Amino acid sequence: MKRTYRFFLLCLCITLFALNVFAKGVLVIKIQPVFRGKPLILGDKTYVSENGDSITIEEFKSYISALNLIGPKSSFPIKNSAHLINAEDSATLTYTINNIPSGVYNLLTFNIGLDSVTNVSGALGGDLDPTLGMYWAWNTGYINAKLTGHSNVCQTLHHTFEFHIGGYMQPYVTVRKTSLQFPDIEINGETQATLTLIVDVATWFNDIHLSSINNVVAPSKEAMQIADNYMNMFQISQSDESVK
Amino acid sequence: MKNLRLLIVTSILSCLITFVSFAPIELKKTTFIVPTGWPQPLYSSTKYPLTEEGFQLGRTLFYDPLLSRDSSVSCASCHNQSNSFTRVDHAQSRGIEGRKGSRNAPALLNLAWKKLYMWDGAVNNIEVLALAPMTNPNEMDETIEHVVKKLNASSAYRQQFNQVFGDSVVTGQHLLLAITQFVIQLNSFNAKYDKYIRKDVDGKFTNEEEHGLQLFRQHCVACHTEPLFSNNQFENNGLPVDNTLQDIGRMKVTQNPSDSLTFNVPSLRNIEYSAPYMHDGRFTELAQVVNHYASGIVRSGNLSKKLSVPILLKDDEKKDLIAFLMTLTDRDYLLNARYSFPKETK
Repeated sequence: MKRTYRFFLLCLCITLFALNVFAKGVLVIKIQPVFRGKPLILGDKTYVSENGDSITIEEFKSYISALNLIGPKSSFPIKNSAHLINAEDSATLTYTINNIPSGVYNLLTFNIGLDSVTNVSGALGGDLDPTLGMYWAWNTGYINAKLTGHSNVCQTLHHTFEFHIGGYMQPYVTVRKTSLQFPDIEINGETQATLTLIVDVATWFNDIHLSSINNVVAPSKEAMQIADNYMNMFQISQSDESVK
Repeated sequence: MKNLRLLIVTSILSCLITFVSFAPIELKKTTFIVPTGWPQPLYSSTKYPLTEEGFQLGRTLFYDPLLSRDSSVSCASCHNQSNSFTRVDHAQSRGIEGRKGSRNAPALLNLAWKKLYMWDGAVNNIEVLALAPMTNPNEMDETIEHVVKKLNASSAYRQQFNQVFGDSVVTGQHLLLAITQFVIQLNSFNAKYDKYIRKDVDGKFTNEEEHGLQLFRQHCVACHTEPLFSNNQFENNGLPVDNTLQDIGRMKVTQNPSDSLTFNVPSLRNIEYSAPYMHDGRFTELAQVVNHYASGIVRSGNLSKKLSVPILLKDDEKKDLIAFLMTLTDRDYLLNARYSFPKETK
């Protein structure tokens, strides 16, 4: 009897261990577009760039892809993770990763934009569907990120500036890798973890004189410069109470 | 007991009925034919299998002016089957409202054997080829978003898309993939030349054609490589630059000066019926084309290396060369009823 009891206990332990090891968790990534720390409101609100230019933003869209969740002991590359962030559509500002193996994670890496393989893979669906306004027909390939708006310093029609940043071929490869470190997050099958990223579009204007560079709509040297600028636009939100 | 048996039988039956009614309707799979002796195609349909239903949907779309902003032109307006899917009466293609483009509409054939599309290679995958004419202001001047909206407003189209892709909401991806199913099956490999290569009974060449083939293999084949009659490269063939169009060719795409004035080498299949010739349609007769290579080449810095040795041709040699080019005409292709306007569906 005692033996059977012991055996049963052992089985229970193994099962619990297995459940713990194989349990899959969920991470919800929330994205908050801002302009130098202030919430990004499209249209009327006027912001001031670091150069002192007054700016309003009409449209902000950006692809993120090839997400990889990394911890001290393991990493979890997320397959087919291309996601289009559109400041106008709040549903796109939440990105849920399912089936994450239980464990501790403290690093998220991803591409801002899409890799060259995606760019030559023909007609794709979902967030990569060419109806989403992020595909160039005249010189095929994706627009990695878009920012348009107005500034009085732009000597253009309606003082518009237009940045459609893309290009996957040398010498103008505009995809950028970003990695964000954060305090340990425990992922398990029981609770849903949340990570909040702020994305600061003011970074696009670093060292850019809008009076001269205000219309970048093709792969070019200027597109490379802006991609370098926004490489660090994503940051982990410090004020997020869900990050422990 | 009897009740139990009845219950079991009924549940099995209902399971079967459910399974049958929810099982996807079987589509008619199509086999892509690679002619004997040809290289493997560079494109293969990996996202969805090629089906007869997909082909027919693509065909309907190809002939539907709904793809243009004012529903006035379809793909077929510039890609007419009897001219090997190009247009004979305009050097540069015309779009809606008679708008004029800057280049000659290319013939469409054997497209799965290409890597890059358009005269300058600006399109990197055949699945997105239709996007360029659809959105070009001088062609269809439409947006794919709006085309998808128009298609979703048609119950007939929704039904067809549902049948082919299992989704009754038309998406941009499915629209482009349907057109692709049609255009990659526009394949031409039954010209007299092919019969000659296969040693068919009706593939005997005349002396002129035979001599023309020899000349062709001596002077032209480096770029117009058999059996596709294109090396799929971009070459500067020594045409003087047109001062009005100022077309720099592939350099527009790559911004690389070494690509200046280079254009995609077109296939010569069905060339008898696909005039006018060259990227800007400047020649209307094959004789003009041959004369260009024999005596009209402008020897600029990045002229194709394959043209560095002058092509010297006597008058009768030019005639024989043209006689050979005529053997590339494939009437089975130009008159294939499968490729023509789908009368029964609209």
